[in-house]
Amino acid sequence: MRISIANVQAPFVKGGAEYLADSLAQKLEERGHQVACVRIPFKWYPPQTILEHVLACRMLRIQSGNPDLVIALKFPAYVLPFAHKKVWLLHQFRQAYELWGTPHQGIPNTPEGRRIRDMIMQADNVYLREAKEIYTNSRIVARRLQHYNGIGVNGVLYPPLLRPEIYRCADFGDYFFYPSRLNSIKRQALAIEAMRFVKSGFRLVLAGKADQELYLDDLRTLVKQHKLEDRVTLLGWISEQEKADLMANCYAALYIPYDEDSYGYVTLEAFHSAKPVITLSDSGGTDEVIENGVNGLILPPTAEALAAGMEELWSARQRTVHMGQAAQATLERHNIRWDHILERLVA
Amino acid sequence: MKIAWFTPLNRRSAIGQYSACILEELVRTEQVVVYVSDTDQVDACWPVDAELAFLSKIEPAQLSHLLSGYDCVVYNMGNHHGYHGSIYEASLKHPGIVILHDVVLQHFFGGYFLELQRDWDAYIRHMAYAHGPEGEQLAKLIRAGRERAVWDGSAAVQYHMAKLAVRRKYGVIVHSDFAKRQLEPITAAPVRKINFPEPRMSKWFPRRPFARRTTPEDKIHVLTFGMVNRNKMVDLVIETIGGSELLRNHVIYTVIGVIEAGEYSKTIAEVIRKHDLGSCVRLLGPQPDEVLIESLLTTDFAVNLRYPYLGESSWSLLEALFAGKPTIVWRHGYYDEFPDNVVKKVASKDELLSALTELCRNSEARLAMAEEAWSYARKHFDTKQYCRQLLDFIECARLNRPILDLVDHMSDCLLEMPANSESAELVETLEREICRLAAID
Repeated sequence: MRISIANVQAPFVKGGAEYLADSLAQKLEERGHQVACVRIPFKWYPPQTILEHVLACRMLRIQSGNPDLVIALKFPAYVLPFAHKKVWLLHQFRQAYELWGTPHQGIPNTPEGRRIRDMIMQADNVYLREAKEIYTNSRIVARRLQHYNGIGVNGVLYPPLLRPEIYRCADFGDYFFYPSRLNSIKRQALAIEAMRFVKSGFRLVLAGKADQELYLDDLRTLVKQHKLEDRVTLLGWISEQEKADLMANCYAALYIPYDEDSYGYVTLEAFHSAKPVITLSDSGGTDEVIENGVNGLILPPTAEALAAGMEELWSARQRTVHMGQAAQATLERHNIRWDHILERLVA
Repeated sequence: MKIAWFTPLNRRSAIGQYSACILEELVRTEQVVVYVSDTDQVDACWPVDAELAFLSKIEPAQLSHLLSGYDCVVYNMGNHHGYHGSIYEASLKHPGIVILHDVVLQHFFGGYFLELQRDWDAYIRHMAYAHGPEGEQLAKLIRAGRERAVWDGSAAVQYHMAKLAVRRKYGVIVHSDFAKRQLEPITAAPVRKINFPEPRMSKWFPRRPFARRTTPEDKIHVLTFGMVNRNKMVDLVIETIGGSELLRNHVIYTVIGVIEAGEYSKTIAEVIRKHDLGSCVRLLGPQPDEVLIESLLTTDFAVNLRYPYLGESSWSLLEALFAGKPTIVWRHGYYDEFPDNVVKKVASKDELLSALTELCRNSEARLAMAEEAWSYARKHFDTKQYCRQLLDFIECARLNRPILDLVDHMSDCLLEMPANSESAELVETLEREICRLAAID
């Protein structure tokens, strides 16, 4: 089968969604399909630009090469017109939905901003309905689509890792590990704040490329300001293998974004490494796989609570090891496998 | 709301006077900066209690930067290319709301392209944009000297060029139903009619309507005021007075305002000479407000004619009505929108003669119309109400801005390509998708 994967790409930014598109392409090719990844540049500021990108996507004709199927992943790539289109929905434009009214809103609350928000919702209402089937990457995305747009989905397909085999458990070392893009919505700053309240001797290791240098500067300032240079390490970008090695030897992992759509790759990487994951009660989709006290901790979103949670795990090593084993078992229970996903998308 | 308000503001500009009137109320609730187009002297401006920025002192690049900081930019557009040229230029670069004081802008664009820019090609190109191949052809014939200039004649009404003034606007405000009807077909932006505010001058007028009872022997005072050009038909009024023994013997006709230099000035002088009306026609030229107010208070009625009608709304008519003066107007456009008992409407020289005669002879008729005019003006023209409607409209128009900006951007892209008749399918697809996005059926 000829399959086009349609995704958007903010140039020079590579995160989970881009990783997923590449993984999907690779897995489809491994099963003998011909795959073309269509990456559409996307810019969302100033907000008026969003409408131009929606229209641009709508005007694209993806029929060249005669694909049998288009799988679209993110806003606004899924507005592409194509008769046999399926959507594996990773993101709507969240600033117009649940982030509206929060500090992450992005679109100003002016008459112009409200109209832009309406038009983004209208685009979803109209164009998503053209899809033959819609899947989401988490229950929360499915619920949101139903709530805001009145659109039901054909199922939830949890995204697996591309190379789960590189993740393993080697040791329970003296650090908590948080690998992710450095971005205010991922709240690395909160993790650093938490280290101020930690009495025990463990460390915090942060890895990932900063989306904006300014945020990295803020993190560095925070570390210096609280004299945490010996206890907090900012590694910057690391390779997949380095990440797997650090995960293999960490004590436990952190994944504490604000209102994330899905459980996040970090959670999967930790689970494959038999490490429990600490998340927060407002982190969004993480609670779809993390069960408090079973395979991780779900804590109130404050620095003090996060510090107490890390201390709690640190003081109970055997329990932490058991939670890591439970985490590994969670993967099977939720059917987080490529075979399952491809069966649904390509059927 | 932060508003940038573009306007002429010199004391000879009626639009400047209108702006001063609006701003007095608007600055009570909004942050307004006034971008003055026609002078850089504070002393030359109508007094306003707002920050003034003089366009002649601002670099174009700096202006764009400044304007991006406002919630809304409001452009006042009229027919004087000296007063409005820089406003027009700014309005092309930064989208906003336009208050159109004239519908027929041929005089502005003729002056702007041919006197300021000295660019016939641009004039022809813009006539083509506004009025298609017919407009383009006419402009070419004018350049070749084979047709009379449009701005000099009644063809200006047909080739008004207003489409240029509503370009890149996400809202249009006018002051008459006539103007609204003319503009709605040529813009995608919403057009709202708002009744003029109350003129500042009205505070000097009586708290009750006043009309003098006269005997048949008394002289009757008749007044025309404002800028005087051929369109105001002062020559016809003098001609009509001269042709009637009754009017010749009883009327003192006063004209206050700048008389357009050249042919028309000569025409008026000739008509006065022809009928030997030197003792009963007084051409006072421009006068300070005190003199105008005194003249308005003492006149028995006013004459406020326009022909051809160029789509404007008359500030001077409003001042006469607030003063409680019966006023003779031509029966068309904005003037015809007033009830028949508020103004005296005419549509021919014979009707003008009848109207002048009746108002001259019949003090009861004058008194009745004075009362209607006085009450009607106060009921329908209110500054607070104007500002409320203006702000409400701005709020609504801003909702449309994202769509209109999108349309403008796509139009620019099509022009760059350039799109032609073979691109019809592309244009239709774009139109359909924008309508779907905007939830427009």
